[in-house]
Amino acid sequence: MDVKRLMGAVLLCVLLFGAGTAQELAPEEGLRLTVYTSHKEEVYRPVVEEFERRTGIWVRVVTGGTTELLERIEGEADDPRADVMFGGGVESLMAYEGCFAAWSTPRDMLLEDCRFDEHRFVAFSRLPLVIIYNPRLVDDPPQGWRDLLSPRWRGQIAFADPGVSGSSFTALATLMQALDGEASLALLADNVRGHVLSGSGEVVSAVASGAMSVGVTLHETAKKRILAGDRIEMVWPEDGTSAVPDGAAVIANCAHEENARLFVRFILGEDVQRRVQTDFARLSVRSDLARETEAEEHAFCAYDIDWASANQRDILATWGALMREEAP
Amino acid sequence: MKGRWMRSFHARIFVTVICVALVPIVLCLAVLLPVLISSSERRQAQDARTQLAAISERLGGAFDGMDRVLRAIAESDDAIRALDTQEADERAVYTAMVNASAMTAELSQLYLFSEDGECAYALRGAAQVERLPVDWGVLRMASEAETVFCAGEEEVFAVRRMADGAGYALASLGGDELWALLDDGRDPAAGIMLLDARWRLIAQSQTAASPDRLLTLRDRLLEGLPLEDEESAFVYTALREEVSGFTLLLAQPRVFSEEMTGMLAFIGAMMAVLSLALCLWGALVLSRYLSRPVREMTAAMEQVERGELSVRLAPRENDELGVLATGFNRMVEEYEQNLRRTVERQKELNDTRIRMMQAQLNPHFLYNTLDSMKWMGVTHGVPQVAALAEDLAGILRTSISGEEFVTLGCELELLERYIDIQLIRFEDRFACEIEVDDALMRCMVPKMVLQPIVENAVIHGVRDMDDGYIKIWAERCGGDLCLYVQDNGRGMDSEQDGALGDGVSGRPGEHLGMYNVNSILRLHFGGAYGLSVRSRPGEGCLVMVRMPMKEGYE
Repeated sequence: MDVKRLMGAVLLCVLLFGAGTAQELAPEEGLRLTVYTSHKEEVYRPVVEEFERRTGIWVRVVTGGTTELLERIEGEADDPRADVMFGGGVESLMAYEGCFAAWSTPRDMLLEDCRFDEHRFVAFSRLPLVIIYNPRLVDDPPQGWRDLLSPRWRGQIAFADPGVSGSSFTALATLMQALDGEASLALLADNVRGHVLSGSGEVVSAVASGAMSVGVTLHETAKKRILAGDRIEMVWPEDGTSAVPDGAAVIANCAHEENARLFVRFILGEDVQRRVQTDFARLSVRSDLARETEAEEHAFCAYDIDWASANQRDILATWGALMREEAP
Repeated sequence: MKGRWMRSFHARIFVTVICVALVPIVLCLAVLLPVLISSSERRQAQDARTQLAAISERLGGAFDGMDRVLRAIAESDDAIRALDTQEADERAVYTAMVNASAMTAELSQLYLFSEDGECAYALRGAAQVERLPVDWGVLRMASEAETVFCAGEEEVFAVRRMADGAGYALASLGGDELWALLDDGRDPAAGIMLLDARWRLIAQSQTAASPDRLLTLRDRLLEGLPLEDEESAFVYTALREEVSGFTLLLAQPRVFSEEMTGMLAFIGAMMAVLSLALCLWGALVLSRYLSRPVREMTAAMEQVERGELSVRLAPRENDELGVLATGFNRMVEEYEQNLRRTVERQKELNDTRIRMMQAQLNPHFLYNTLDSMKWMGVTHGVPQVAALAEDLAGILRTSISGEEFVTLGCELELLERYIDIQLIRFEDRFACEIEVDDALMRCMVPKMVLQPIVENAVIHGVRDMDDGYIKIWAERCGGDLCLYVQDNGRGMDSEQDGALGDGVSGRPGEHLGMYNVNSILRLHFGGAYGLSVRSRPGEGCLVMVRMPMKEGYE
């Protein structure tokens, strides 16, 4: 073997073993965070990317349905893979509270009914229910829940099956709390009997296409569709609507607890909460941001989350029975 | 059954040939293929690093250029003044921006943002953004001390706070300018992705993996796994660009894709199967070619053992097995001839025996007659007749006894009787002396071996003389026994010195007895033994009988 060849071989060895692999680009353990989220991409993505930009932490996002993710967290309790659960209604988080780490987040800046001081999760945003209508079909839209109960809207209300759609169930519970309990439930049932939609996604479509005149959906959904060009309009019920919060929590015994707390503090921070109001069509949980826009404009009823989740089964049973009744 | 098959010559050749032929194929597949794959992967990786290094260097240069531009504009008095106060000399600001942007060729757009995020100036055409949040995203990252690079969609932002902290300078690099940097010198088959410091996608070429795929790549990186899994169609190589901290990810189509490896493996397997079939066929033919003649030979030998000597092997090519077959044939032939000769000899022997038995007819009659003659001689006072009769009877008894060999003593006794008869006949005109050591007396000699010689000496040597003399003696010559008969008679007609030939036929009647003895000795002991004669006319004759020394027991 001549010298050139030998040098070539040596060079090749240096290149082979000297050059790094992709793994060297992987971040160190202290710069990692795994987030399980049930939010849609348009919500979690800007938040996570801004968090990454600000902290340099690599966030790994795992998406899924709320229940699916919470069950997974429960299943991984011995060896948690996730650091943060981001998203999910507070009543769901309450059910899995045992999986979360107890720590004291500063909650003074939050709205009083969004503090959940005794709980291990924090509220992230509130999701108000609104009434929508098709302006080409309706001149004088219903102004509140009571109007919706009028026989005038019989067969014209787009309403999703509360057994399937969480927001529909919240609507029932809101109706019962804002008005007079089961009596109003029966009246609504009379109006939607035989026309119940199978999912919440269909509500806006039904109203936008003119198949139905009015509907009940989340403010977030309605606003998104309006921005997307659907010709519907929103009414904030004058007799008060509910704004059930969703939340976030640090997983107990997680691998990157410091970063997880950082993330939770970040999402409660002013910058993110401002985006909750402006970009995500939701309501902030911060008192300094929330009150300035909504307090005078919209009426809110007192919505008892504990009562709603405690009576969920009964309410659905009553509703089911009403649905089976003969149309008057 | 199986074990027996394996022990057979045929099976061993068969198995050996198959092994020898299959091992190279299997070796090729098992060694060459992985070596080929790994070497091509190595070359590909090296190629990727070269490409990435070039791209990264160009990109770094471009980012440095943006940094210079932003530094220049952030420190430009005209720009600072324009952002501080709403009334400004627009031309001076633009001049400053143009001068700054001249510092680099790689720039798409240059903006100046006011302190509350409003876009105040854009270098090229209309501003694509009118307003940017200052509490979020790019502008929030800005610092007075250094230029910060941020990811945009299909573009890279570089941002810097103005020197007095009021307002922002933002440069963007995207579109064709960015792609010129990413595409130049890159293998068109390979795709490239520009990722930010946390592997969020900034830009990617058509051929690169989809954003979904990028998410799994990022997950694999975070999980500490290699970027490629078994099925991935691409090989990924990553390099961090130092100025921005961004990552370049090159996606090269896998040279040995799963499909291709599968095809290679399939071809290899087919080749192995084909060569196995070929081997099987070749091994079968070869082993049969080799083992059939061996089997035939074995069968032929068994036939020979059973005595079927007519068996012959079919002539074959002139190879080793052919030579073996020819040798076998010759051997069988010789064996057959030998056997035939033995049978013939046996037949001759039987004939002789029959004749001898016929000759032995009524020997008792002869004894009795001779005995009568003896007693008549005694009673009539003719002792010579009695002695003659007695000697003759003795000779007769010995000569017709069944034994072929007798001791030398016995032979000499017989000889003495014969000489006694001849002395009576020739009226003692010759003398005879026998001189044999007692030790030799027990040596075995063919019966009647000396009598014809002595007879020869008497009849042809000393019969017409008055002082004939015959001497008989024996000597040990090495392992042989030599018997001598010497006379002082008239000798042979021609001078002789040496072994007596087989020439019985040449001189019928003459010395016949001697020739018979010679023949008997040769038949018994082989050509090295027999009679030697030394004689000259008128000077007597010396006959030597030579035979192997053989001790007998009386």
